[in-house]
Amino acid sequence: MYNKKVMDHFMNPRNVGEIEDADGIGEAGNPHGDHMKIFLKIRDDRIEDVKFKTFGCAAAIASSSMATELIKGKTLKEAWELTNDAVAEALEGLPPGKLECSVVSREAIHSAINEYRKKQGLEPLPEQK
Amino acid sequence: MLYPCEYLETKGFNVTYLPVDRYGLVDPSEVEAAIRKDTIFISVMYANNEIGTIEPIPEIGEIAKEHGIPFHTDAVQVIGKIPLDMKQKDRNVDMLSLSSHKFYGPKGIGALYLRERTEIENYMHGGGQERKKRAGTENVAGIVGLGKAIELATANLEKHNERTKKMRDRLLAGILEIPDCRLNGHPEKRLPDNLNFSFEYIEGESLLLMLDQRGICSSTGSACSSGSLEPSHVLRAIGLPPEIAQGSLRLTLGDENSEEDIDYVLEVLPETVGKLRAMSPFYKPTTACEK
Repeated sequence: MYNKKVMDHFMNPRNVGEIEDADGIGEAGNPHGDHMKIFLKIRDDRIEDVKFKTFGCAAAIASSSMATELIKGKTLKEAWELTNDAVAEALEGLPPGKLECSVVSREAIHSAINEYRKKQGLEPLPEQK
Repeated sequence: MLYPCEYLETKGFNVTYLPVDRYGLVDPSEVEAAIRKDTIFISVMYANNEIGTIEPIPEIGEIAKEHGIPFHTDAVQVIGKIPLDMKQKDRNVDMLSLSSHKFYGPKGIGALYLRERTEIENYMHGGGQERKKRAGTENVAGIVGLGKAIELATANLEKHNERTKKMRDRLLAGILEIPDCRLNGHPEKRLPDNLNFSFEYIEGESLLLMLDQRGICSSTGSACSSGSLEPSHVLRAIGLPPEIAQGSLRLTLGDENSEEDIDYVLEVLPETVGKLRAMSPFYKPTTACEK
């Protein structure tokens, strides 16, 4: 059902855990029940470290793992622009009907970035569409 | 039976669906109360495939008989696991469905038992086979295979069950040591080979896949593996909240399982549950275990 890449990120997810003194914490869920919590350590507008915790199916866990890999070391702007398609592509594809499970990653990243922005006294960035 | 009933509803039939209690049991008095003047058919599953609960079929059969209503039971899960006696305790069952592959018979063949003088509409119209009830050349190999399989499955049933139950109960006791888990289905009135658990804070498909990677085959009532948003209707019917139903796992034992397999599952399952909980944002460790 899942390809090797997805299975690898599911069985050995990268960046699992919490960051105690995180600069931005975000959360997101979907109607499937998938739920992701993400912790960002930010320095000079760049994501220095990232950790996550996810409740959900293999697609949700693998997407969380891949999404955190993709935004690590990136600027907040780059992280904000990460798309579900990019995550799915990096995973070399998700089965039909499982794309929905990867959406929580992007939403959780947005929620963490906005939480950080709020703490900095900045306006939260609007969600597109 | 759910889908055939839904189909009949589209044809203008009225169907009453009865609830079950927290163990998945149908209450015979509720069956009786639901009977209307125009009731023509009652069907209750003999034992549930997901949670293993065995329904009070003899009692419900008695009620159906008193009211003169044909009574059907889906016994697909039951053959070769609990003894049936169509002359004694199951004498009021008029129709009974069974499926060969469930008792190590060939795939693609099943049977509908019809008590004498039970009239049904032809299942397929055309040829004269099976007294015109089901047109088409008989699947002889399948029929013979089913017959032999049922013979083998029902010989030494008691001895066979004793072995399965012993392994099942050791597996059960071991799994209930895992914190925040519950057994689904009835603790005693259940199929000898079936266990169904819910593990809080984790999702069933993930659990199933991780176990699969370690060589353990299981199934789950999780929504995410079925492609729908709703977890299994059985788990919802026994009142499990969706987030608990999501983390459900069914383990069934067969002839080829051994005590070593039980040891292996008891080693791997707690580890796997622990691993998934460690990455769950909902997990708050406790030690209570609801039995």
